Parts: sequence; C-alpha cells; structure tokens
Amino acid sequence: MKKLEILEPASLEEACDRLSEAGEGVKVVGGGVALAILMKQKIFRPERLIAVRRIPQFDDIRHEPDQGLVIGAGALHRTLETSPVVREHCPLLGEVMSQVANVRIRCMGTLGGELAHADPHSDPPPVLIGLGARARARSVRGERDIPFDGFFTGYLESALEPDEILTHVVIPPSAPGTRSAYLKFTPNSSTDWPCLGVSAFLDLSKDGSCERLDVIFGSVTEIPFRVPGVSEMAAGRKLDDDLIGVIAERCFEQVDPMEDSRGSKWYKKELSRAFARRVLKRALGGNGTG
Amino acid sequence: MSHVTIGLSETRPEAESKVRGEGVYTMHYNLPGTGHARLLGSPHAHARILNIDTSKAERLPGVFAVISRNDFIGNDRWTPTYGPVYYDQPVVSMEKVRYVGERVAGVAAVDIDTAEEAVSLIEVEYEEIPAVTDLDAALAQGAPLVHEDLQVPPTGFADLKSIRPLPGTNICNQYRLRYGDVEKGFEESDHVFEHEFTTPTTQHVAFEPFNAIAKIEHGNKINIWSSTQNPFLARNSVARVFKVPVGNVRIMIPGYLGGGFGSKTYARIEPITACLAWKANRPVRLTLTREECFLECVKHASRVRIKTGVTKDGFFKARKTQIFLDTGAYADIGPRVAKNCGYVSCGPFKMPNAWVDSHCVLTNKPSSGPFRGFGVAQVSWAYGQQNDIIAREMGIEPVKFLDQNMIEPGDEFITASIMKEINLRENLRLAVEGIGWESPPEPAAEPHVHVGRGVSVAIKSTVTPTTSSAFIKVNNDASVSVLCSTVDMGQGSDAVMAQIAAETLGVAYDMVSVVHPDTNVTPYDQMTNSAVSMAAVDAKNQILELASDMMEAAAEDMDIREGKVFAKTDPSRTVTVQEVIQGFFGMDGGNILGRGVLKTKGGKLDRETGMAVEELTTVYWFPAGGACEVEVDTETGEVHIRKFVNTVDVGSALNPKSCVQQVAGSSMMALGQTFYESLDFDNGQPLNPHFVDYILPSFEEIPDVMENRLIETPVQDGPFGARGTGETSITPPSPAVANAVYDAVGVRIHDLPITPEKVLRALREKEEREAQA
Repeated sequence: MKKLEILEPASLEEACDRLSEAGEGVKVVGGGVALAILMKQKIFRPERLIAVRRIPQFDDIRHEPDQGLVIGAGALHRTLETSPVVREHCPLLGEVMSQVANVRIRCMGTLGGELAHADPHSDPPPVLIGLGARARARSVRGERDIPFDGFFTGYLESALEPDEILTHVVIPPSAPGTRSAYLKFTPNSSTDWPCLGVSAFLDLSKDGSCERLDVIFGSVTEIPFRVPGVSEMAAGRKLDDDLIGVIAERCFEQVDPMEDSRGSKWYKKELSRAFARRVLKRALGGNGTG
Repeated sequence: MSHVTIGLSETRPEAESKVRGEGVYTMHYNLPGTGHARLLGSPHAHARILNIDTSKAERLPGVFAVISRNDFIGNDRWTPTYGPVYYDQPVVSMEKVRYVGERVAGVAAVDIDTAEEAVSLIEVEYEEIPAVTDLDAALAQGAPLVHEDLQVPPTGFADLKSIRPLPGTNICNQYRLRYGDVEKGFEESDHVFEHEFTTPTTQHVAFEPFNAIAKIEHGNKINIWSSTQNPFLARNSVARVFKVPVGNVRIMIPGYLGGGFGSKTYARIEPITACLAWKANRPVRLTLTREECFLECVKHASRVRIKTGVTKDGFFKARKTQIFLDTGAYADIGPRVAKNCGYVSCGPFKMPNAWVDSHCVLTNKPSSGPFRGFGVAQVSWAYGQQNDIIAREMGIEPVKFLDQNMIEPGDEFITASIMKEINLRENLRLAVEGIGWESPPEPAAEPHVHVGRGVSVAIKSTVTPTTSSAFIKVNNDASVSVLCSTVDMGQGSDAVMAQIAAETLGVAYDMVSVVHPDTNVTPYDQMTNSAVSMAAVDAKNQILELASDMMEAAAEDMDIREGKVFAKTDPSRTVTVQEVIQGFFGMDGGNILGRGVLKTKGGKLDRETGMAVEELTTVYWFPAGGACEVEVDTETGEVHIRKFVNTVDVGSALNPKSCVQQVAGSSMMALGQTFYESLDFDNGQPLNPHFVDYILPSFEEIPDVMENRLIETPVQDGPFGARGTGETSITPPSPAVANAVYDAVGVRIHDLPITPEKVLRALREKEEREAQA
C-alpha cells in the first residue's frame, strides 16, 4: 500500500511547480477539514498532498483601495470572523464566518479550502457572489481572476484547473448604502452544514425605492442559485411586506432544489419561501425572523 | 444522625485530570511489541460463506496473524460462539454472515496500515441469500430465518429462565403478560383508543471507541485490558471461547471508561482480540473506527401498538400492548429488553387489566443491545403520547389525567407485585411546577411561532435478581482501599463508592481510594449497589472489636467518626483507627479486611402470564418525570425548547452534583434521540454510520433553561437509601416534547425523531384537511 506523501512547499511558486507535475491523486490541502472526512470514509485516497500552510502570507488579510478586501486563501474562518479589517470593510463576511460549523472547526478550516472544495453545503458562496467577489488562481501558466458568479460548476466542481491553486479571495468595495444579509438554516444541530443558506443584497435610492435586488440561495442546488427576475420585479418600487411576499413567492417558484440528507426537495422549496422573506426583512434592517 | 460525606457534592477524584485532557483511558494504554488489528467486515446483509482464502494476507510482510472461520473449523481448542442469552454470536462469521459489517476475519500486523492492506488481500466467496432487513420482513409469513437453530443455553441469567423463542420464526423471545381480563376491560370501557408509535435504530455514540488489548501468558492465561462496562460479563464469554476456567481470564480497565451507555456491557471485541493475540503470540490491540463502532451495538428500533380503554371519568380500564423490537442479527441481551419494556408498557399507572406481547425480533441488521433506559424509552414514547391523546380527546387536563391514574405505594402493579418506595405524583408535580403549568406561557414574539407544553412520567425496573460483592482494605494509617468492580464510565461511581466507604467507616472522604476493576483483584459486580457499604460495615465491626480492649468497652457501645473510635456514652474517650490497627499488629503494617456480598431476590416472572412468582418484580423502581415548554416555528417546523424540567427520584442523593450531572446528561442524550438521531439502512446497508450524517446535539442545543430536580424517597436495599439515577431520565423527554408540539400546533408525530421536516409536513397536511372540511 502506498504511503501518503505530504509536501509543504515554502513558496507559492514551488507549490505551483509541484502541482503542475502532479497527476490524479494529488490535492492541495489547506486546513484539511473536508479532505479528512473524505479520506476517513475512504472515498478519496490521495497519494500526495500539497499543504499550503507554510507559504508566507498565504493567510494575509488586507484592504487595498483599488481592489477592496484581498484575503489570502489560507485565512482561517475564525481569523476572518474576528478580523478588524474584515469587520470594517465587509462586516457581512465576518458574520457569515461566525455561522460556519463550530469554533473548533473554524480554527482549522480555511476560506480558500472551503471554496476550492466546492461543496454545495457551504455558507460563503451565496454571499461572495452577491458581493461581486473573485477567486484569484495561480498556476505555472500565470495568474487569473474568476468571478464567484461562475466559479462553481457542479457538485464538488469548480472552474479551477487541475494545476491551479486558489490564492486569494478578492472582494471589491460595495456601493455605498448597499444593504445585505445572510441567513443559514439547519434542521439539525446548529453547528451542522446548512440545509439552506440565502443572501440578499439591495441598493435603495434616496426615496427608498429599490434600485437593485439580489436573492441568492446556497445549499439548495448543486451550485449557488441567483433567483432570476427579482431585481426587475422590485425596480423602482418600495420593498413593503406585500412586495416582499411577492418576491418570496417568486423565489419559491424558481428554486428547484436537490434532495439531500438535510432535507427533501419539498422541504427545501417550502423553506425557500420563508427564508427569502426573512432575509429581505433582515437586509432592510429588521431582525429577519419576522 | 447527620452524615459526614454522604449528601455532599464531593469533588470527583478524576474530575481534574479529565478536564485537563490528562485522563488515561484504555485507548491510551500500551504494551511493548503490540500488534495492531483491523477487521474485515461483511459487504452483505445475509450471505453464505462458500470459501475464505487468507493465504495472501498471511504472506504479507509484517502480518502476525489472521483469524477467520478456518481457525475454528476442525479446531477443538476454541468454541466459535458466545453471547449473554443465546450462544449465537460468532467470534468471526462461520457458515454465514448476518449483517453488513459483521466481522468475517481479523488481522494483526506490525502497524494499522499493514493490517489494513492484509485485510484487503483476504478473499471471500459469498452466496447472497434473501435478507430480512426490517421488522415487517422479519415477521412476514415464511420469512427467511436469521438463525435456523437457536439453542437456549443450560445456564444463564436467573431472570431469563422464562425465555420463549417461537420456533420457525425470527422471534427469539416473546414476553407475555396477562393481567386481569383485557377484553372484558375494553367492554367495560366508555372509550377505546388505539395507536402505533415507532422509534428508529440509534447508537450510543460513546466518546471512547470500543477497544481492547489482549496478551496471552503461558498459552492459557488471557489478559485483556478493555473498554468494558462489565469485565465479568466479558470474562464469561472469553473463557467460553478459549475453553478455560474463568479464573484464567483477567479483564482490566486500566484507566477510565469514556462512556458506554449500555453498548459496552457484554463481550464485544474481547474474544477476537484475544484470538489474534494467541495466534500472533504477542500482545494485540484492536480499536474500532467510528464507522465500525456504529455497527458494533445499537439501540432497538421499535414498533409499539397500544390500545387503551378508559371510563368516562378518565380512569384506565384496560390496555393491550404489542411491542416489536428489532434486535438485529444476534440476540445479545434483546430478550431481556423485550421482557423489561414489556412489563412497564403501561407505565406508572393503575391498570386493572393488561395484556402485553413483547417480541424480540431477529433481523439482518447490527445487533441491538442494552441502551440507557433498557427499552423503557421505546414504550414510554408510545404510552407517554397516547395518555396525552386520551386526556385531550376526553377534555381532561393532561396533568390531572396522569395524576388521577398514577400508581401509588400499596397498589398492585400489572405483574401482581405491590408497589413500594415510590412517589410518582411528586415526579409529576415537581416537573409541571417547574414549568409554571398553572399560568399560561409567554407568547412568542413572532406570529408564526407557537408555544406549547408537554409532560411525561415513566418508571424503569432494575436487573433482578442480581449479585454484587466488594472488599474493603483498611490500611495501617487508616486510609482505605475499596475493591469493587463498578466501572466509572462517567457516572461518578469512584466518588460515590469512596463516600459510602468513608461514611460507613467514619473516615475522611479523601482517605479512601477506589481500585479500578480487574477480574483477578476486584470481586464480582453486576450493578452499582450496596456491597461496598456492607463491606465497610464488616471492616468497621472488626475495628470496633479490636478497639474494645484498648477502650475497655463493648464493640456495640462504640462508633467511629473522623478516624477515631469513641465511646457512645462518653465521646471524649477516643482512640484513633490507626492506633487500633497498629496496636493489633504490633507494627506499622497490616490490613483490616471487610467483605460485602449482596444477592437480591425476586425477578422471576411466570412464563405464560408474566406475573411475579416471588412477589418482587424488581428490587426497586427508577421513577422519572419531565416537562417542557417549546416554541414551534410554523414556517420551518423547527422546535425550540425554552425550558425543560427533569425530575428523578434518586432515593437518596449521595452526591447531589453527580446526580444532577447524570440527569442533565441523560436528558441531553434524550434530546438527541428526540430530534436528530437515526441510524438509517437501505436493504441492510448502513447509510450514515459516521458523524457527517448521524446528527448529535451540540452544546448550542441545550434548552434555554434546564432544571434538574431530585426527589428522595429512600429504598431499603440501596446504600443510604439510594437508587440508580441516570437511566430513567432519558425516557420522559421524547414524549414530553411530542406532547408539547401537539399543544403548540396541533400535530402529532408518531415516529421518532421529531424532525422539523416531519413537523412542517404534518402542519401542511393538517392545513389541507382543515381547508377541505
């Protein structure tokens, strides 16, 4: 039986070199939270792991005036949750991080690892898509940015090429006055994966009418689902209870959930209506549970 | 007389090391040169084994031993099977496999990776045969038999003499109870109610996995360090397999036990580990993976049909209960679970006519063994809800209904025993008082969230008859060692045994140490009880005899307190225990030895009627109650517990903090069973034997307020009046929550667990029904 080999490259260049030489059975590992489960259940037996935790600045969190928030892929969920930089420039992200699993897992797991794993049961994707965030990927062939709207391509599948390493998450500055919220629901122990996650983003004009509205579901479909047509429905109108109800109904009609161990198709569809309403109220400034 | 240490919340001796992560468990124990074992599990639920070829595995470098049925066929050295009721459990599969995961072979090697590789080299030829993977399939006419030839062993547990297997079926025990005339009772009833309730297979999920290290000395002395709840029960099975006297088998628990909840009561991996060690000729360790633990021992899935007749004033007239327990591939202790849950299936209520058929059903699933509550959770899920249904349909306040039917001391139980030493009304009263039942609940802030309350009360018996023994060694400096075989698996028995010995002997709590179980050292024990206090009394009497010359007083005129013997007539006249012992031996050495042997009576039930033959059904009862206030979200089906109040009659709270901790732990475990836990199967294939999809409550799920109230109704046969604490409190929460959900939103969940999706679906169905009406 082949022993598992773990490489710990000291630079990003070296990591990309090692990955470019690799074939099947080689994986980049951050905190190893998801990978350990797959290995323990013998679903995946890697021959070689390229651990990125020794790479300098791989967990850097900084704000750059032109780019916005630039987060190293190796940043821990817990670090992001408690980071003053994140709290200042993207408080919603910090809030989402606080809802991921439990504090012990958040101290192991990295944001980059979670995104590259592309499990549909994940809290950050519907938020990053709504924020217009991009994944920065690096390989021996160069560097590129991939918008998260399009990054997820299927169950455990992303737009990353086999030789690419996710190095950063780039979150551009939001328009002033954008309101946003994220709600997670689990029917199980509260530290479980989401059965449904939903984000809402809205820009309001001075008179309070809606200029842009996005409702994005996570964990309901194989890839995050941005509900089409809701922005048009809300354009120029005030988001009152009636309109919120109509939009929630639209979400209910549009969502075509996958069944999983956290909920049936029927149940997730039922939840989508209630949570669309709750997340919109939350984004508007209510507590989101009304 | 007031107590010195009994009744105080003495700090448990192991508490600090456990909290610091320094506690030593069997899994930390190591011997030099130990080989590491892995197992080959069956991929099929039911299949004949045509051939096993282990030659490739044996040739792999680093492999010390491979064990399969080939080692048992034509081998007189070992017996292939064992078990607590039937000898049906094979060390490794013999002629066929009976559940997915059953151990077909074991390998010991230089390390785990080599052992795993060797396991993958074992070639097994199977011929699949029709399987019965649920109760319906196993009970069907002409169903394939899981076991063709179950033989009741000639010796065994005293309370299982009346076992009734039904030949030609998969029923390995049918417990029957016939009390009064149930059909006449229904005729005389004004209303008759009939319902069915189910519970799923779940697992104990102890922190510490099953593990054992075995080492053979001189070819026939078998030493096993094991994570077992009862080393003597495991010892019987190992001695049987190896055909050696039980004295040749030494089973030890070197440190603490990381939880058992029933799963580690009987022999589990000890026999296979010992066989591997024998063949490898070196120590061998086997630690099951979490996935394997999930299939090693589970809780009985159940189906309970319950039919009850009541008078128009709301008094019980008759109850007929049919219980079906899914005991899996091997009977384990299932036959006793069927019996014990059978005779408590009317709960703690006066029932003039009762009829019970309780079936222990073999299926092609993992074996079900004892699980905290021992079957009571399954039946109280049924009667706890049906009582609520009856009360509501008859327009009687549920608490009043329970109260007016509650059984009291002096009443006859449905086994014809007379009830004593119980105060069930107090369990009910304290539970509902804690919730504030009399005043309406605070409504929820949001209109879609509804509030409701529920309550349930249950009783459980204890193993009867049974025996326990203990030794006390009083050392030359008046420090004390307690030798007993009660395993401290988290319940705090080390502290309480020390308290019992200290109180009885009149020495300080911190002068007493408890020796951990070792079948070559500590004496036989089947349950936590009075043997230690009996041994302490024996030692104390000897000390007083020895002191009588020095004190010039008769032993009966003296007593011991704070390590000093004193004259009752003049307490200022004292001599220290140390002086007495050193005076007797004439040196700074020697031991006073006390012994205690307890043998309880009763427990025999008639094979045909289930009636108690010798008056006592159980030495004492364990009563518990629970009441809760919940919020139900009508948009998601989520149930949130605002407040949970547990009441448990502990007899006497020897260590109140430990009692409260046990009750709190038990009711949290119950909330896991209530809301989340279900080990699911598809045609016998386990779907979620891992923490990814088998959901447990986290600390976030502790109710907003949890109160644990202790009641102290002393029992004669318990030390200082105490009885067991941590078991019955697992049974009221599930029905109490279900009743509260009904109270809140008017839907009734008959099948555990109560998931938000089930609640929402029931709500939508109710809305549809109401819209049609």
